[in-house]
Amino acid sequence: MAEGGVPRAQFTAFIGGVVEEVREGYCRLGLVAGPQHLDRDGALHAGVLTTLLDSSLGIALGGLRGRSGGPRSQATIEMSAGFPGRAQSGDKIVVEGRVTHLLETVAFGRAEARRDRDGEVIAEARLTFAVRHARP
Amino acid sequence: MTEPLPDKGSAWSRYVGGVYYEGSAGFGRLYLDVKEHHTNKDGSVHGGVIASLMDSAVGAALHNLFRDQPDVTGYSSVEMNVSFLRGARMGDRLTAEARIIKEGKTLAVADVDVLSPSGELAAKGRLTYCVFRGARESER
Amino acid sequence: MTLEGHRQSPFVELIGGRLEVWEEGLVRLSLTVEERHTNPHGVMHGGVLTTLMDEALGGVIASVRGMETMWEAPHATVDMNVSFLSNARAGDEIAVEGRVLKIGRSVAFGEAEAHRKRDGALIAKGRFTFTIIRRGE
Repeated sequence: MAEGGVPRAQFTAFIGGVVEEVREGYCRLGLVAGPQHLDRDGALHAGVLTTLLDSSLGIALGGLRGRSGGPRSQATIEMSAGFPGRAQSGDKIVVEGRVTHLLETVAFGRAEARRDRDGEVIAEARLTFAVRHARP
Repeated sequence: MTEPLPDKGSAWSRYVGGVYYEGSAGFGRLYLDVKEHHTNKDGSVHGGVIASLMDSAVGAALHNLFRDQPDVTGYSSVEMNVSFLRGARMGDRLTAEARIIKEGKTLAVADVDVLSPSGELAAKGRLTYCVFRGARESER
Repeated sequence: MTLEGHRQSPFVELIGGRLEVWEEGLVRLSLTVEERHTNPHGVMHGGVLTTLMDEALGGVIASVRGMETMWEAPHATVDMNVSFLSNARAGDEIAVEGRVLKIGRSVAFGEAEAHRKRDGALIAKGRFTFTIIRRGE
């Protein structure tokens, strides 16, 4: 279990992602890019970023819904991401996810990834989750 | 299976002008003749027209899918994503083909291809809908 | 380029993706889902699929553009959109296929599908946009 009692995704941990902060509807992850995270051109693989973007919101949403109590399930149903920048091996990446709307059956959120050294946004995403609330 | 839709769609979709052509459960095909009021200043078709045509095509596919499911009381768009691949111009007949690729309890996802008169892919879209079922409605 | 001679991204190597098909216009990657690929609910993390999709699509666009052209003007992902339709669990085999929708002068589009091998279910579908970077222009 990570900070705030929210379990962190095994896959995210496996690739080296670290949960830095979890608040209501918010989560920040960090990852230091190494040679294992690169694509064929030697830049950070887009898959690393999409993994972190998805996880940050999954954790943020899990934390938010956890407070209302009860067993629950959630799954990403759609993700859109744009990649305005790139990162290299050695760069620290900070990813912040924020839940923007939590409705009866769906939730929406936004996440962005920055290069820590200069704050440059390298990826931004919008995600939709299917949520199932606990039944009494 | 080709059957006309029992209703003619919303006021908006009638205004845009997509015409239902054929369909089957989970499938719908519409066409649209591009007219002046569909175009941008440079004469190319406006992206919003394409998006609207896609929404109508999926509406037809969903209608065809749910007509035998009386518990479905309605559906509404949650999300759409469109790539505009090739332009179209006034006088072109565009065909939109929608296929439901996921039918869930509360969500449905459709793929839509918009084809140019020569059959080339003009646009590609994926649309997600929330499905309302009777049982769920009564819980509210 | 042959399947054997094709180089995978280090990140795809790390997560265990395998290149199955490398033809002009079609690239297929596969992966056996293990515990390390899952989230706390026990289902495969969406990031595994987006990674394989990005790799397959970058590859298939390269297969059509040709390696020579690609080295002169490489392409990079600028946008992606994926719908997650079903899931996979540890032990499942998944296959991700990438196909080209359009290659323009400065932009290329590709579409990827992910299937669960045991029952052929479509588990995700994505569309990616790539920018073609022309150096010195």
